[in-house]
Amino acid sequence: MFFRFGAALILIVSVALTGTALETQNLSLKRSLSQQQYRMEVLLESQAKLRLETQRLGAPAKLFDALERGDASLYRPPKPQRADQRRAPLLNWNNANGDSRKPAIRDQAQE
Amino acid sequence: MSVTPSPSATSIIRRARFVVTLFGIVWTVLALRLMQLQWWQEGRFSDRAEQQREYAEEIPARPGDIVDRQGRLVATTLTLRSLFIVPRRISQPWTVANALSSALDLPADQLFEKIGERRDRQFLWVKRRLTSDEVEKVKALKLPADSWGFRDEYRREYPQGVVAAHVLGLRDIDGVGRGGIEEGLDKVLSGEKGRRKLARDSRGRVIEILDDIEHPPSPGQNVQLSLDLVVQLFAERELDAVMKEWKPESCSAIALDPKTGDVLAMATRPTFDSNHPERAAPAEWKNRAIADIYEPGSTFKPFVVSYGLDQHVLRTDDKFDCENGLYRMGRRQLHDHHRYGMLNLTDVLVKSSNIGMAKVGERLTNERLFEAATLFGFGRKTGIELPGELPGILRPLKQWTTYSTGSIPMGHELATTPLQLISAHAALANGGLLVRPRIVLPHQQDSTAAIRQLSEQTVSPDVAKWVVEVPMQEVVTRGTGKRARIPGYNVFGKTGTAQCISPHGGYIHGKYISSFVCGAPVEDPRLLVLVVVNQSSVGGETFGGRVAAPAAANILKQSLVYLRISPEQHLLDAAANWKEDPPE
Repeated sequence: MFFRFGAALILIVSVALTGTALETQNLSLKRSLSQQQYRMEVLLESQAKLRLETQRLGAPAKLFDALERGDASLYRPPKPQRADQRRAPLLNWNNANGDSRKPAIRDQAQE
Repeated sequence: MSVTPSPSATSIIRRARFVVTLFGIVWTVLALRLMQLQWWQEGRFSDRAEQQREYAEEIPARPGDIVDRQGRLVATTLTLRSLFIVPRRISQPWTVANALSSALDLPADQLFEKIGERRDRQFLWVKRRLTSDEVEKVKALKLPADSWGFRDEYRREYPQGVVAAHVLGLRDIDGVGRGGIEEGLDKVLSGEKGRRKLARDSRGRVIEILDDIEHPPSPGQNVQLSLDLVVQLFAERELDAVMKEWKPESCSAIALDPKTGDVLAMATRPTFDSNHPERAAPAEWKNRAIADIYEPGSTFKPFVVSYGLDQHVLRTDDKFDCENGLYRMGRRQLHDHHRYGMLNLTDVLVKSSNIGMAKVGERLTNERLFEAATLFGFGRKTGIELPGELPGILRPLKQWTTYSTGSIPMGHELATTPLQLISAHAALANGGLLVRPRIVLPHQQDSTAAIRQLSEQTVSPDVAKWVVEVPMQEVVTRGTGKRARIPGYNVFGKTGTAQCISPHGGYIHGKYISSFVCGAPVEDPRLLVLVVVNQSSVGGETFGGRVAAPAAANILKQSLVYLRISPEQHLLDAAANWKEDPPE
């Protein structure tokens, strides 16, 4: 009788403890998921801000005057920091071998 | 032996029965009440309890970005914080108003009044979309925690400033698209707001975000425009120069790829800055490239000629007597700017002879003139993805008179938008196909793109080719559009000068709309440019060849070089012998 009672009690307690442990783990996972989502939102926001700033700085309207004054060059620098093609060019850089086709601004500036 | 209870015992039993009965009744009543609450009124009460405890909050969706055809960003979204207060929980309104006004640069008395007017409210915006400095200043005030809060809101940013403002439109403070692509594709760009449930205590404070999001937000899609910002900038700069030199009421320019119908540039002056819409004057909102209508004048003539040729009513070697500049057509007298005698069909277009075109009209008759106008898309919207496009005016044929026979071939008695006109010219430039212009590039997998691009044949490719290669090219080499010559390229074009229509009927004396449409290279047209200048206030009779042609040619020249369309060496050599233009 006592043994049966003890066994039932242990079973109930162990089920309860397991449930608590699972719930704790579940909450912990939820917390980390929520933190990750928050971090992702912060990073996305930061990326949006940086992208906006780079696009503002590289806006054609902003670069045209510098190009026409000759302060900025249309030609690809001999050692560009990034060798890959620019995804959003103001004007396509001439290739390293030299391209006979004239860039737009240079043509305009010569007039 | 039976025991008779004593009277006192009987009384106790009776009382006990009474108490038990009373308790029984009370319990029964309670039980019935519980049953009423739990069964019959369960739904209503649980709803009320849920309403008190839970409330649904909207989760805004981040609007999609807009980029040009090269991927340059033209509109994006940032998250900013907006400040609200809870007037009900503010015990010292003046102190709060004073503190917030110093942090946010707001008038303290107005804020105090607002709080006073809404003392029983739970929510009041103080300032929306704060800068990060303002957010820090508000935090530093250390106001009572339950009396204020921040809410994240989206703010639309346009990194290119005024460039393509009319095409883009803007988003208002509530994130609703107003004008341009922002309005036209609002559903695509806005995405769908989400909803989540929050649990709150008896004082209304949020105590838990409930797990089950009813409906997650779906961010807006990105949109890629057919615009190329560099070509757009060429157009905008030329319009600025036109505004400075000719001081017109307004002007607009469009650059279009005649084969695909892609609009590479669409600009209007006066304009506004999408980042600062509060500074815009009412006249600056209008996208005149699609919402201004005017008589096309001589720019309409090539359509009449090409349709006549296509219908075999005209022949390329036909000659017309231009009556030395004066022709009586019924009760009407027609004039040319110069006294022309016999002109062939090419010269009628090159010299832009009104009398020659009236004779072409007589040969075509009203029915064919109406068919020509309809075929090239006049009188109906082009279907571009921008809101506010006008269909122009093409009156029903039954309203046409003998007067129309002379007027329509000259581009009068009908009205068009600049976009309609350049779309019709694109049909001539691409071999006769009327392609619907578009300003949004379709997704790669978008099956509707093919349907959208279905085009209709207007005139035969041979006729279209002849009109472009012979008369329209000669308009530029020796006709009214000589100022549009570009070294190294064979350019074709057509000038147009029309009197302004008065809103009270008739024309406004001395007010003209000057236009010029041109394209290059003649052999394989890659780009068309149209410039329309409305009511120049200097320079007398402002011909399209004088006012609009140089601007259109400049846009075309810069764009051709930018698009890497190489000039011909022999044409560059020939250009060295060009002489200055004689005055018109």
